[in-house]
Amino acid sequence: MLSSFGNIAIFAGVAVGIPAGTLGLALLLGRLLRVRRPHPAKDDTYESGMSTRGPAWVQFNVQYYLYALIFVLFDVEVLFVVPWALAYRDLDKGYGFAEIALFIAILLAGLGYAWRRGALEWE
Amino acid sequence: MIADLAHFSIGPDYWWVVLIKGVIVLGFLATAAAYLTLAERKVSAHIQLRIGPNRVGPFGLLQPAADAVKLLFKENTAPAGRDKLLFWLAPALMAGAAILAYAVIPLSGTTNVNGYALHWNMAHVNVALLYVLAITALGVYAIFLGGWAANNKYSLLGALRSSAQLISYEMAVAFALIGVVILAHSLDLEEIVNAQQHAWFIVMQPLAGLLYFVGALAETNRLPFDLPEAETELIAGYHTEYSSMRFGFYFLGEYVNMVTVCSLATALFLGGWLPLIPWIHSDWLGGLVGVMWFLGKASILLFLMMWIRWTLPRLRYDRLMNLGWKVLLPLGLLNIVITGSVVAARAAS
Amino acid sequence: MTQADILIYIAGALAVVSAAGVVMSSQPIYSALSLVGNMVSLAVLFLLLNAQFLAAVQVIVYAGAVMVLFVFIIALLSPGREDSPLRDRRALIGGAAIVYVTVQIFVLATNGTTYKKGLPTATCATIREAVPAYRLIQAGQPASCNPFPLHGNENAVPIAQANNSAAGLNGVLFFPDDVNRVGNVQVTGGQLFTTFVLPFEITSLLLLVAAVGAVYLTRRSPGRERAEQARASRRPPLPAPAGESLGPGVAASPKAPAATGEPESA
Repeated sequence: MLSSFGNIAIFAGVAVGIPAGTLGLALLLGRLLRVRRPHPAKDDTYESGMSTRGPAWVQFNVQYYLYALIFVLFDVEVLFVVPWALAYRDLDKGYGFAEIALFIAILLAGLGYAWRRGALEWE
Repeated sequence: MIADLAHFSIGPDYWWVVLIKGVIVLGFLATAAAYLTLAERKVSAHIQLRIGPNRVGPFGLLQPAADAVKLLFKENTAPAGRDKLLFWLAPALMAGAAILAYAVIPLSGTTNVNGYALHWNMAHVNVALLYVLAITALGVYAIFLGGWAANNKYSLLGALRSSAQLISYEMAVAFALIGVVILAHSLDLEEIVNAQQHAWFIVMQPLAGLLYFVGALAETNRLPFDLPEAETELIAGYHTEYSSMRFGFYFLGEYVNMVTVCSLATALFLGGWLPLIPWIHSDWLGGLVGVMWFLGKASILLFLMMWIRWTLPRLRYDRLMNLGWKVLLPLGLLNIVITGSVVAARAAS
Repeated sequence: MTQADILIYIAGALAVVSAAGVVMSSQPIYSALSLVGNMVSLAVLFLLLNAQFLAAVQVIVYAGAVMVLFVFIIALLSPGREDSPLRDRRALIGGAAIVYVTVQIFVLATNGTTYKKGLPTATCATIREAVPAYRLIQAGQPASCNPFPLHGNENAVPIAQANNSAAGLNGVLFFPDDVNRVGNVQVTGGQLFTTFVLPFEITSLLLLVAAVGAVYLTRRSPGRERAEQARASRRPPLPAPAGESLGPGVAASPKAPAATGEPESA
């Protein structure tokens, strides 16, 4: 049995095919229509009129990485809560609630630790 | 042979039904995105006591067409040191992800047409909400890669800010949605709407609705969360180096994204196609009227987004991240606990 | 070959090609993106096996979160181009040996296992009768008695114990058609919060440990930071070498994340 995701596959075909076709046509049309006066300065990186020094692929603030790291953990946690939310109606209420309360409490401990250690502070 | 082909399918529906629906939705999204740019300019103009575009066609209604032609004529420049493949791929990914998310959003209730159950979406998926989250999660790459591939420092900074912002708010939004899932007992958007027959979820889940809307603003990079683009400091951020039709695709993706998040908010919180004034039920016309209700509600949300954009100033980046992690996320968790305990208390009584 | 078979071969081929891309790409960012492609292909395979929840988790967690982290690390370290591993003879021989051994183990492990297209209908019906939790399944015969959508392995049919049906979802035999009728995620949730509560709560502890570890490793303790700040303030400030400026647009904004250290370190 195939699920409705087959429909999405067809739609993906439409969603890719038609814009790609349109874009191809537009580019072809554009090539005929648009001005083309190449100049080395036009291929330069835009930096508010300053000439660029070195590549842009440089090392950056580690804070971004830290956010991504904490995000991975919380993303996993969200996905554990989703099946709970769906099964909650069929679970024994007190039991089900205690389960998720414990889970969220442990989760909050992690968030609290990160908070206290300043991992969420932007520098 | 022809009959065989017509009955061929890789999903539950005949392929040509999906194909027709796909073409309609695609046309709708492209038109909506084009006219949203006009609406945005008109709204901003009236907020700033101007008139806005009014030269091209009556009330400036042909302005989007003129803009498209202009984009077509623009010279296509690109920085020499770019990563060629990714620079080309990123805008397409942006538009593609925004469009694909629309596949599961039901514009109206299932309609019976001569015994054929017509769904008003591409695919009736039972994990629709997770599907939307998954597509949104992949959308991060479109922005990050575009900024990274351009080999421009502004672009890279914009891309990094944007990705960090997207993932932070994505999570807050996901936690906010749990409350709705508890009440609706489903991830299927059609069932979620049907669960709102008695009361819209904005009434039962006001906190979740607010969190979702704030998160949606951040995920579409709209003011007051448009840090990635911040023209005064990053000069359009991740798409600084994009020009011509490539830029057009980023633009299209952004506006389609707006339509998508507002449609999703309509289905989740504003009762989707359910009418305020019951009028016609359960036939062809009823389905179409449902679509009208749906689009009307979504338009109000879209207008709200524009209103906010032209009214509020931009947040500073550290405050933005603080809001996401220290306010929205704990509130999302609180909402789960409140909803869970209320449901438990009601079951006990 | 059914349509599902064709789709599974397409998705499988995509998975193999993208996996090859991970090791063949000379640029780390392309390796990472190939890995994203690989994970999405695997998600499609999960979908074809009727595991919608697993597919969604695969995309959201692996492709959407873990790989974003990877890409961030790649951008953070900005490593240069690498030589293709194919040029290194030793790597090639070693790789071939590993592939050979893995294939042999796989063949040995599956040796003697026969694949059947599902259970006999009579057996299936008997099991259905015997499990009380089947009252949950709505009326109407399921389309097939096939425990797995493609190639059912009789030995692998997970027969859950028909006890503790407090959740009402317990003790269901996991025939895909039935699971889909109740809802894939609902069944997963029902199992997770009744039969597998303990592992679930232990998982949350594991996540807590991971969070603490991540924060501990990346953040210096406040005390040490203060000591270092004190030391740094005693030292005369170093003049910034030329070429470290990121341009006026960034420098003008003190909150802009411009702390890049050495731009040309790559």
